[in-house]
Amino acid sequence: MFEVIYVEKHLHNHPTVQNIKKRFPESEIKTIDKIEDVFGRVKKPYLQKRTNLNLFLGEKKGQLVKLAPPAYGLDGEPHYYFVHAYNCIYECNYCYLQGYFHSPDIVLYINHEEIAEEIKRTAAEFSTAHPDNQNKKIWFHAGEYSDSLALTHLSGELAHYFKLFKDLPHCNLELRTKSVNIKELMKENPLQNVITSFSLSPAHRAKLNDLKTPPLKNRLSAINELHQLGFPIGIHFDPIIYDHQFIESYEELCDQLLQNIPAESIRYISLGVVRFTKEVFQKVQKNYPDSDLLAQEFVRSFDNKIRYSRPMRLWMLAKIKQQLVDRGVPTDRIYLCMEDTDLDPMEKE
Amino acid sequence: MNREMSKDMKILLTFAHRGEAQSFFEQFTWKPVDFFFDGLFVSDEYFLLITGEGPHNASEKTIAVLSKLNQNISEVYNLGIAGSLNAKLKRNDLVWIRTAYAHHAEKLEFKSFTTANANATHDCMSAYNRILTTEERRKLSLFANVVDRELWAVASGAHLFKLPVLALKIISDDMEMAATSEDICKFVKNEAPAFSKALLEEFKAHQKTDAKKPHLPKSENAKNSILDDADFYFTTSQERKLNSTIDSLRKLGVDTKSLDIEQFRTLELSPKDRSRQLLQYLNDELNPMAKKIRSSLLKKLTPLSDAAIIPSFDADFEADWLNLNMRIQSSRDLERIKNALKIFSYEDYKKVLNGEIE
Repeated sequence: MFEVIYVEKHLHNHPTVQNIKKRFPESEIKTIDKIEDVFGRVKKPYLQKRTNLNLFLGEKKGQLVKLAPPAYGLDGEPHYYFVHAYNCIYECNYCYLQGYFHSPDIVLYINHEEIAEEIKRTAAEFSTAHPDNQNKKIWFHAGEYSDSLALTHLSGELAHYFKLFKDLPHCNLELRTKSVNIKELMKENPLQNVITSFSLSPAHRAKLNDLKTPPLKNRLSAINELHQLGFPIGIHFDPIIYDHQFIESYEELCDQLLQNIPAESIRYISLGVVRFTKEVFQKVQKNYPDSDLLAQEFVRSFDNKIRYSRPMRLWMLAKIKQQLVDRGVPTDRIYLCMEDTDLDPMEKE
Repeated sequence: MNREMSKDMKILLTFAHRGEAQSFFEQFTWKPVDFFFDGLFVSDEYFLLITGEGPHNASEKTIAVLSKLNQNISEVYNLGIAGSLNAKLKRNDLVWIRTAYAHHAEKLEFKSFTTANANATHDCMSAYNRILTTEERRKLSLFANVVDRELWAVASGAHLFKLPVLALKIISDDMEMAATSEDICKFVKNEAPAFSKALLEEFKAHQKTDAKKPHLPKSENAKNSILDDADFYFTTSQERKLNSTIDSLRKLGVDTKSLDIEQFRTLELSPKDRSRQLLQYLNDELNPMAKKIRSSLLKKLTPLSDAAIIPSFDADFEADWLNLNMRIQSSRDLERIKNALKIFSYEDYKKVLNGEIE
């Protein structure tokens, strides 16, 4: 799987590193001073991940927890994300990572104790600064630059974060994934403030766009299994991509989802229509010239991101929201991701 | 820039030294090309350029040749010897290069160039100086499997002229082999005939099996038949729009033969206006939602257009603004406009922009 594993020199004896080395005996091991000395120093083509994927193991320095952008999660609550990995083993053709790091290689940061300390400190700082917000949960998101579960059998961080969030009941942790790699998760006791959220698309769209990811039916089975075990589940219909089967395919997706988890058990469903920065849009054009993804008309939208036109995306969001509401999902559990929420047509009724 | 493939197109082969190219000289019949410098040759199928050693020579000469001959060149090959940066790559191994990187004065060039060989699995670092020590090789081995001195510069030139580049290298020295500059020169000179022969054999085998011969995609036929049709006249930007729309329709799986283009040929309009209508039709086929949105908006604006008020709105439907153009020449005109504005509902118009599409 990994052609070369780069290890920061002081980490060779770290148990996680030892474990990874054991799992990939064929990989060449190279010792480096710091990840930044090699990773991203030259522009490695994104699609090279298909034939040559390398792994970097090191410690994350600098800002370990960051404030999330507006409209990131449920409205009105503070959202932060923390970084313990860069890049992803999957190859979703809309993914912003193809324009982000100048290298598709995987980076795993293994100093989870330090990251956990920083989460604790951030939570305490927020509570002190906002004494009136005691009823609101503070959200922490893993997986801003990676899939939160796909490599957990290697990185082994879930135990750290479950232990941490057990002691932070006023905080929520979101593990966002397209993976069905739930074995490590199932070793933990479910916590109501650790939510595993799955990104879902209609089956045919997942096949066309979520390249190298588990098919929809496997993700739905994972949702079912985790739900049965008592793990809280969130859902992301994101990115929503228009095609001529749009309405029927989302109706089917809603039905399939609710066959696997009851509407009232879903903690939240976020809806987000496909969007790109200008740079990522150009990367998608270059990397996937034959995909139907960009065949529709796109415009520069309110935040300079490239999106479908405003009436089109609001129409799409309203349609799916209605489909979910019709099937019993409470309105207050559905939110529009990275969209100007003032424009939500259903909110105005 | 479109590069039409013709039978006059040739492949440009680049080598640093004549010794590396000697088997190619023997295999094909070459004539020297009267150019600004020596070292450029032509045969029935190829141009051959001896660039000289190092990135500056390779860059200057490749760019000079491509500036003059790029319309006659279909792709660029860089062939020659390279040092191994990987213990698994041994002397005489032949490697097709995937990506070219560069290293200059202790710094890495951020830019890289990927070759057109989808099956290549090795990366090459082009070093500005000769890499003589094992320590230097170890440093570069963090980024690539082989080291040469020209590929990045040749690829950079090819990239400038939007030409695909391919690179074949033969390993001349192993990873752990430390040597002086003189040692290397002597060794390469002695071994050059064998290296060149191996490069030629691999190059010929690759040419035989190369399946990536140029062909027109299906949608090219549809585009060309419309563009060549005297019933239509396309401006440059319209031609670009036609190309992108037909490409997008193809991506959506639309058979371009099923499009009813005939209906526009018979319209009693100028070729330019026919083209405009045809483009609108193709765009509506591609974006039925945009058509629906436009027609919903126009419906809401009917009270205004009925009163000879010409509305215009953001073509991207993104902004709320509505621009009205009207002329008042009499009290009757004024009354008509006042009545129309009374009937018109801006809120209903905005509802469409907010996704309430009928």
